[in-house]
Amino acid sequence: MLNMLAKLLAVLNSDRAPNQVSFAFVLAMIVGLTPVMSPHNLICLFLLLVVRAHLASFLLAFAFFSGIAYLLDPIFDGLGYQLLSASSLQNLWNSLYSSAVWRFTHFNNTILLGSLVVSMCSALPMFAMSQFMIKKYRQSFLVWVKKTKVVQVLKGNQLYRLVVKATEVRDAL
Amino acid sequence: MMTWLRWQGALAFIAIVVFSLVAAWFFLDDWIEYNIESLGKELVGAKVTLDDVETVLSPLGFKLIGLEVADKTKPFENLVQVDQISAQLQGVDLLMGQVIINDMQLHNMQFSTEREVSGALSVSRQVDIDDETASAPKKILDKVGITLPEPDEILKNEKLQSISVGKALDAEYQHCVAVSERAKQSIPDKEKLKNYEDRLSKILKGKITSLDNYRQRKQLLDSLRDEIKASKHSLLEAKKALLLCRKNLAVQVKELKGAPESDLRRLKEKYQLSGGGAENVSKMLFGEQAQQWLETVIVWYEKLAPVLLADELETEESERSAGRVVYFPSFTALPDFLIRHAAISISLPQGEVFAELDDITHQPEVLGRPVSLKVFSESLQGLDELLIEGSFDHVNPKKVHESLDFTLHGIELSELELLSVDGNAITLSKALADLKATLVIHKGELNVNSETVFHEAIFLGGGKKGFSRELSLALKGVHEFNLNASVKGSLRELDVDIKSNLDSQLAKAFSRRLKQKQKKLEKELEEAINARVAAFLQEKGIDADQFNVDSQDLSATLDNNREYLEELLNNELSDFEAQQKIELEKKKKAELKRAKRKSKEKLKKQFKKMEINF
Repeated sequence: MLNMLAKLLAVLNSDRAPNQVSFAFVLAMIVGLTPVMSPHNLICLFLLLVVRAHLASFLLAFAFFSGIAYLLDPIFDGLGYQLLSASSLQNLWNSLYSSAVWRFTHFNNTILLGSLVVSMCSALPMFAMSQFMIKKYRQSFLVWVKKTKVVQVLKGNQLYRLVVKATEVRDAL
Repeated sequence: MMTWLRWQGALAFIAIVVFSLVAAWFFLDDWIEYNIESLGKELVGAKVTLDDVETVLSPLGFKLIGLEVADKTKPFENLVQVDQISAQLQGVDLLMGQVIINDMQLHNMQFSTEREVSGALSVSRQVDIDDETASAPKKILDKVGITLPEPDEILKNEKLQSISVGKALDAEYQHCVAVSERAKQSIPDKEKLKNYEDRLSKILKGKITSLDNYRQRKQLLDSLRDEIKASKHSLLEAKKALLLCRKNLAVQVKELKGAPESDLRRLKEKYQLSGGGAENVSKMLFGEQAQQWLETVIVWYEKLAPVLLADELETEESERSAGRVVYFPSFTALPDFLIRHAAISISLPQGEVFAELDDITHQPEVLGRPVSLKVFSESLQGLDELLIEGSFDHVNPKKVHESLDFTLHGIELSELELLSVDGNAITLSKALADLKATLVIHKGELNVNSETVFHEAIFLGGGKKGFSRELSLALKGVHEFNLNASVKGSLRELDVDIKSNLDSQLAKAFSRRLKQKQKKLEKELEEAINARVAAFLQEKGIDADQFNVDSQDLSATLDNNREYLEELLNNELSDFEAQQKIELEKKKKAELKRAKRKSKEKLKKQFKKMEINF
C-alpha cells in the first residue's frame, strides 16, 4: 500500500500530464462502482492497459471506489430498478433484451445499470475535477505537502528514490 | 497520439484474458463439482458427492459421473445415486449468465443404495404422523367389537327401555289405585241409602193436609234430592276418573309389552357384526398400509420438491450485492437455469423405469410453462404397466397447482400383511390390482383420489377365536373387491378416507357366520329382559290385569248405585190442588154411590109395598 502511495505521490509531484492520472481515476471509478465481473469492465481493462493511464493511481482509486460502492449499492439498486421499470424506457429495454449482445452485458441487473449510469454520468466531471485538483495540488499544496513529516519519511524511503529515478530514466527514454 | 497509447498494453490485455480463460477451463471441473456438492448439500440437507466432472467444448456440455445424494433420515443410505449425467449446454446463453440445458440424460438412477460413509449433516426431521389416523385400526377394532359378550354383561352395561317404561307404568298404576280407592269411597253405603229411602217415604206418604204441609214436604224433598244428586255426581266423576285411568294404564301396559322387543332390537344391532358395524373393516385392513404409502409419497415429495421446484420467491428478495434481474417480455426470454428436456433411466429392483421431465427451472414465471413429468415402464417385475403423468405449475406463484396422475395395471401383490389381532396376522397372500389415482396439491392442500380394483385375491392368516377368526373366515370367501381411497388436507394434517365394497361383502359373510350365535344371544337377551320386567312388576306389586277386573266391577257397582239414586230422584210430591180435586171427586163418587144405594133401597121398599098390595 505504501508502495502504491509512493508511486502516486511520485507521479503527482512529477511534471507528467495529469490527464493520465485523471483518466485512471475515471476508469477506477467505473470498475470500482460497478460489479467487477461485469462484461463492460473488460473494455475498461483494455482501455487501462492500452491507453496510458496511470496504473498505480487506478489501483488506489479502484480500492477507494469499491469501498464506496458497497455503501452506495442500495442507491444503485433503486436507481437501476427505476430505470428498468420506467414505462417510457420499456421499448428501449425490450429491444435491447431481444439482442443477445446486449443481454450479454447484463444491463437488466439493477445494481449494474444503476452503478454504470452513475459512473458514466460522473466520468466527465470526475475527469475535469481530477485535472483541476492535480494542477491545484502542484501549484500550492505540493509546497506544503513536501514539508510534512509523512512526505519527508516517504522521500527518505529508498524505494521512493528508486521510483523517482526510474521515472526520470523512463521520461528520458 | 503515441503519447496516449501503449500498444504493448494490448498484448498484456490479450495475455490476461487468455490466461484467465485457460485458468478457468483448468479449474472449471473442480468449480462445477464444488458448486454441485455445496448447493446439493444445502438443498437436500445431507452429503452430495460427485466422483468426477468432465467438461466438453464441442458440443458444449458436461458429464457428471458417480453422483450420490445421501438420505438425511438414513445416513448410510443414498436417496438417489446416478451413474452418469450428461448434458448439452447452449454456449451463447451461458455468456449471458443463463444455464440452458437442451438435453440431459441420467443413466442408471437408483434409489436407496448403500453408502460406505455416513451422509448425515444434521439431525433429521421426522414426519409427524397424525395420531388419529395412525390409531384408526385400533379405534375401529373397538367399534366393531371382537367378541360377543354374555347377556348378563350386556344388560349390566345397558340402560333398558323396558325398565324406564316399567317405572312410568308403576307411577301410573299407583295413581290408578288411588283413583280406584276414591271411587270406592264415593259409593253410598246401605245405611245412607236406607236413610234416603226412609226420608223419601216419610215425605211422600201421608195426606197433605194443607198448603203449608205441602210446602214443607216439598222443601224437604228438594233438600233430599240435592243430596242424592251430589252423591250421583261424585259417582259419575269417580267413574270418569276410573275409566281414564284404565285407558292410560292400558296404553302403558301396551308400551311395556313392546319395550323388551325394542330393547332386543337395539341390543341386537349393537352387539353384532352387522353391515353397520363392519362398514370400516376395509379401513382397518388397508388404512395402515395406505398411510405408509402416503407417507412415502409425501417424504419423496418433500425431498424432491426443493430440488425440482425451488421457489423463485426466495431469490426475488433484494440482494444488495447482486442486485435484481428484471425480465422483459421477449420471444427468447429464458430463465437463469433451465433444463428443457431430461431423460432418466431408473434402475429398480423390479426392473427399469424411464422418466422424462420437461422445462425444469426455478423461474417458471419467466419461462411461462410448468414443469411436466412422465414416468413409464412396461417391463417391471410384478407390474404390467406403469404410467405417471404430472404437471408442476408454478408459473403464477399465487396459483401454484401440482398434479400427478397414476395408472398402474397388473400389480402383483403377495404376502401383504394387513392386520394383526392378538399376534395373529391377516395377510393378503396373493392378488392382482389395477390402480388409478390422481394427486393434486393446490395452495398447500393435498387432494388424492384413488380407485383400485383387486382380482384373484387370497387372504390368509387370522386367529382361532374371536373377531380374528371370524374375519379370516369371512375374507376367505372374498376374491374380488375394490378400494377407493381419498386423502385431503395439508401435508401435515391429512384426513384419510377409505371405502370399499369389501365392507358389504364382509358384512354378509359376518352375518352368515354369526347368525347362529346371534340367535342364541337374542333368545337369551329376550328371556333376560322379560325376566327383568316381570321381576320389576312383581317387586312393585303391579297387576294390571287384576286392576282391570277390579275396575270393571267397581264401574258396575257405580252404575247400579247411580241407577238406584236416579230412581229415588224420580219420586215426586203431588200437587195440593190436584189432591183436593181427587178428594172432591172421591167425595162426589161416594155421595153418588150413597144416593144410588138410597134410591135402590127406596125402590126395593116400593117394590115390596107393591107385592103386598097385589
